Amino acid sequence: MNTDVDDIVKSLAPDPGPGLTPGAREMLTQIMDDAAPLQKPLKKRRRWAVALPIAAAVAAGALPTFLAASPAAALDVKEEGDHYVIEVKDLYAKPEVYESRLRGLGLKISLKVVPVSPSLVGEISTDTLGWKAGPFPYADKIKTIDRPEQCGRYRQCPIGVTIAKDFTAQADILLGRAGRPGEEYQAGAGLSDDGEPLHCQPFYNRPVGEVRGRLKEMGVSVREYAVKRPGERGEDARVTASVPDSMYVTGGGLASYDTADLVVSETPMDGELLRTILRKAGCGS
Amino acid sequence: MPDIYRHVTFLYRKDDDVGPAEPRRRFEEIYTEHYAAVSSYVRRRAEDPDDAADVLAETFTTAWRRLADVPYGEEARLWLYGVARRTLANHRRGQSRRAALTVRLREEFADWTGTVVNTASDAAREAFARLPGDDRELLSLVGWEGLDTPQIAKVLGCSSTAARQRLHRARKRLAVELARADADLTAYGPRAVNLAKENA
Repeated sequence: MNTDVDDIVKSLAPDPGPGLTPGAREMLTQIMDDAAPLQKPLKKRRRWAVALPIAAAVAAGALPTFLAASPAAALDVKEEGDHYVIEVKDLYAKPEVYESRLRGLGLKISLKVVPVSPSLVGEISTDTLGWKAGPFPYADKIKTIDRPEQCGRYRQCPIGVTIAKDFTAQADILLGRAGRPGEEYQAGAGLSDDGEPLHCQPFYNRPVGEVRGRLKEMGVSVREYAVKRPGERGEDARVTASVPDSMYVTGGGLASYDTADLVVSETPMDGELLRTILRKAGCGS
Repeated sequence: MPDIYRHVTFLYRKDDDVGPAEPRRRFEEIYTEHYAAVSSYVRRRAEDPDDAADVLAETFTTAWRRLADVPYGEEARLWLYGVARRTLANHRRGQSRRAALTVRLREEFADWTGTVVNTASDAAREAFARLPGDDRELLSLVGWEGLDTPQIAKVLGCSSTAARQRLHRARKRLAVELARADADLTAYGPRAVNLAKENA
């Protein structure tokens, strides 16, 4: 574009400065040492703790106390030895309602119950202060409550946590619940993970058209595709509404109750990587 | 923003290159990659080197504190420009909390003698100076930072259409000011002539 006016402005540009000087490098270190980043979760990188059911059964022997909830309460709290057993009765209550109840117990815990893909229902996400990576730091203090086998679409299981009475730290806990139609999942596992729709079914390195057909049979449509080149970071994948049916599926997950996103590539994924993924998913041969 | 990436993260968390970046490492990458651009942006707009150092410190401190909000790739630079722009607008000399961070940087800025030979005429400089601040900023984002309209929209937090319209108006106003400053507008090329006529 011929922009003479722009050229005039360009000619007015002051000097850009010396660039990354030693003083600038010094400031880099100072900034990081001065304070920690705010503990807002990295949204796309939410990690979920593996369920660690406590040994004691919730129901049998649990003593209702004066802390027990009224029928309409969002949380049902029971004391059991050195910890509270907290079951979420109203999965759709506002976080402030939960928080107020927990504060009444002397716990500085914020609790949110969010829609997640099937295998993460009832699980704790550990969006917790001071937890960036590695094992959940309060694994011995905060656990999910026992859930029977085969919870899912046709069987409702309790959702909740147990929290040690002597837990004094600040923690932000996300608990997964099933999504309602139209709700976008706030975290999801892979489509072929245990508990997800295509667990151990032909999925990886299959043509897009085939996988889409399989999902359609289950009432799931594809919301969007991320075209990822080998070695490319997930963030750099190009997101698009449609791709050729011949491309290869290299990943994906449910985005909501009846939609999924697929990660696709021009080339199939490396055989060794595929074997590793399948082995971890419990589908290895 | 699509959530599709989370699946990539889940699937390849340990096998691929998309595991959660350690915050310090990620910040170092952002800083080293974009410092020069953001530093230029700030220096070209701050009133003096001390201000520039303070605003830079404040901008990158904001990026560190809000690391989870910083976009990946090229968009990080635009995000940083946006923060720097707001920081400059809010900056009050002598009130910076970041002054302690910038002792050495201030000295370097003060010692730096520019190498750019400014070729613009005084008339052009005066015409540009007479524009409203918002116009100068739009035109500078094009002429100094080399941004296109969609990128400008991201820095300003407006739609591309709005950015395009504002930019067009800013170019027109500069053409008019140039015409006032120098009767022989053709020295600036036919586009400036046309823009000035449009405004007449």
